[in-house]
Amino acid sequence: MFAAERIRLIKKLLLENKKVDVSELSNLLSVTEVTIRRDLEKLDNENFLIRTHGGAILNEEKLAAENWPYESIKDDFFLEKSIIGKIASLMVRDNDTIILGPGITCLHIAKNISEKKNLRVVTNDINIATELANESPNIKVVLTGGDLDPSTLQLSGTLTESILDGIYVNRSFIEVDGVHMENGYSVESIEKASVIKKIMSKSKESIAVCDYSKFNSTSFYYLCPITTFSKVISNEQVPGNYKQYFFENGIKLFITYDVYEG
Amino acid sequence: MPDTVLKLSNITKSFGGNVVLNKINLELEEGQVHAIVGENGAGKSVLVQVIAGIHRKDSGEIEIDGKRADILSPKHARNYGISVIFQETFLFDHFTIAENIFLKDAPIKIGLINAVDMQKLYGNAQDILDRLEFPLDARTCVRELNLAQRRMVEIARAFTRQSRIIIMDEPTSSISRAESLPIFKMINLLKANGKSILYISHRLEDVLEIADKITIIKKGIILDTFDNKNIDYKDVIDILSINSYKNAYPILDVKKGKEVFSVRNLCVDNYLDDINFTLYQGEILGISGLAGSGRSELAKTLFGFMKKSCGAFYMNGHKVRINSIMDSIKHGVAYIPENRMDEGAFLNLSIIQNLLSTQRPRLLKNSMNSKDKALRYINKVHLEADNLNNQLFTLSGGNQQKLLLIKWFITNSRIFIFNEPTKGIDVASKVDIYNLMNDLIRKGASLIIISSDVDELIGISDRIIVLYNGAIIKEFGKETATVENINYYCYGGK
Repeated sequence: MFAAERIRLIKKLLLENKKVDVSELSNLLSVTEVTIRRDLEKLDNENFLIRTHGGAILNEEKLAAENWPYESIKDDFFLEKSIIGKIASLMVRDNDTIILGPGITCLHIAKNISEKKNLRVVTNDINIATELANESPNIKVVLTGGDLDPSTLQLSGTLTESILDGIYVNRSFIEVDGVHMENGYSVESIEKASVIKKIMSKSKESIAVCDYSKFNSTSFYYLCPITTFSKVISNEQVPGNYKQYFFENGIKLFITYDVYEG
Repeated sequence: MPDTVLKLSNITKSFGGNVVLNKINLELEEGQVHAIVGENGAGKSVLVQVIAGIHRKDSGEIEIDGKRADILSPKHARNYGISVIFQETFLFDHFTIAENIFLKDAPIKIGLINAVDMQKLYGNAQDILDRLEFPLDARTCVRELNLAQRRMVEIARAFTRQSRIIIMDEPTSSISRAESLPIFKMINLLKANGKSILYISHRLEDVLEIADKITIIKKGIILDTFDNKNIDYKDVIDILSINSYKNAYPILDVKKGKEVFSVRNLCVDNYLDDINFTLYQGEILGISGLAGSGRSELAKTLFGFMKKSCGAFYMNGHKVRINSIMDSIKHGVAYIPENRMDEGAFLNLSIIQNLLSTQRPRLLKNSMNSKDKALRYINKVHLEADNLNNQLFTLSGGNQQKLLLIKWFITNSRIFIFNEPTKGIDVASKVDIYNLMNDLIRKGASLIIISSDVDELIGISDRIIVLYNGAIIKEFGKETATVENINYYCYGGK
């Protein structure tokens, strides 16, 4: 089992049980206790947990302090998404006008742009609007209206789209739920696909974001062909054939190495 | 209509899934000089090595005098009348010119003991030198010769072997224009003697002077073949400049910071002349230039690997001494070499030992710490290695290159010098390497990239300086850098 998989499993167990035990993990994952301790140290450095004698507990305080919706912390790819957020924020300029599409990855982008000057953000995701209002009061936020999905706090429907009709932006960040060589990009619902298409038509540049688990998979509703986005941000675990395909088709694939410590 | 002496059909060759020659078709006629022009890494040298029997082709056919030829070893090639003059000369320094020319076929005096007939040896050798109009004495020892003269000795050797096909791989590389003239004269003589010459070069002005036909090769594919009469300098540059992956380079546009490193009046005898440049935090500075322009020497000098003859380095405004590799590591300079087999990687050491090779082991505790650190880094790049104690060569070329880069991450380097960062690695690994560069610049490191792939340089650099004959002849910003512009200066345009 690769380290990344192991760490993801440890995170999952932590989120479910709030604590883990070194010797149990060692048995469960068939690796030495030394390896487990190293994994825990890594997660400790990321403030995900606090190490204790013989194990670790979930760093709930820290996670709560960052106002994460509960569902997103339980996400298997929380860390992957959070680095995508950092990389994406480097593509946002001062004085920019952007749209952050709906979803947790876009929420991660919102958490990384508080330093930008004179920024205007349009969104149809209430989580994102709330995050910006709380943490980045200097950013001008436009929240679209529309039909509310109570489980995700995202807005969609004809009202959302008619508001977007009057808006033009420099760039938009689009979170996709599936990326597939033949089936192209896809998202989990018809409503979401429809709003995203509208967002893309109103942006000079659209950038796709998603963690690597979305590659080679297809979600419920077709969004657009694989060559649509000229920039894609994901993780280093993206399959090699996609890396090659993107490069050979003039598409910039940014992946979230986070190795150098300066 | 002259006869075709050498015909290549659909020659394909790949190394580890990386196609270096892609369906090459080429015809060489009797008494003809046929030049093959292309950038470094275009596949020219591999093509030579396939014809010379050093590498075996994967598919395709070679015909000599209209008959299929199976060239499986250098000896086969010699038997077919093929001689190759390589960039690096293969001569015995302590032997005379005559002895080198007749290495294997020296005239024997039959007597009590069969011995080399020295008088005949020198007489014959001098004859050949005179016929080829080389102004050299056959009794001179080879160690006294300069590079141009050594190449001439090699050519004389090919001539005596009755070779009909002479392949010259960059015969004028690393020698001056004036020194090249006798070589050109000799090529014309060989031609007049009915020899056929395949002339590999990236020096366009030379090629336009002596070739009858010109074939342009790029990324293992032949783009076009022309009669020299019908083509000029500008046309060739334009064909060489067709770029392919213009928008595919995923490099982040990060904010540049203060000046971190500068080079003032740097000279290296015979290689570099008065080099000046400044590097800023978060910046990627590209260095372009053909082989022999001094680009590799510059990289090595910056890393303390070659001795400078004058000039100074400044870090954060302070003068620093970089005279050795230890000095450069101390000052946070990292070097990822062009030829990882020779200069960076220890193929027979384990993956983990390679990673730790930039560390100076002092105390056991220290080395434990760095081993821990190394393991953490390996996890972070998701290097697909089953066992870190396996030898390095068990990894793919792309993964080896990633490892050679990562090992510098452990030393807390701030300035990274890449020499040919993606040469010979698969496309997916290229994308990885560019993104590792992103990781460096977004955290404030600065990069100097030396690459013969102009496309790549334009795709990733903030600025590009062009080296020609050891000097900086042009600097381009992001807006003005085009493949055409850069090639124009690389090939010596003014």
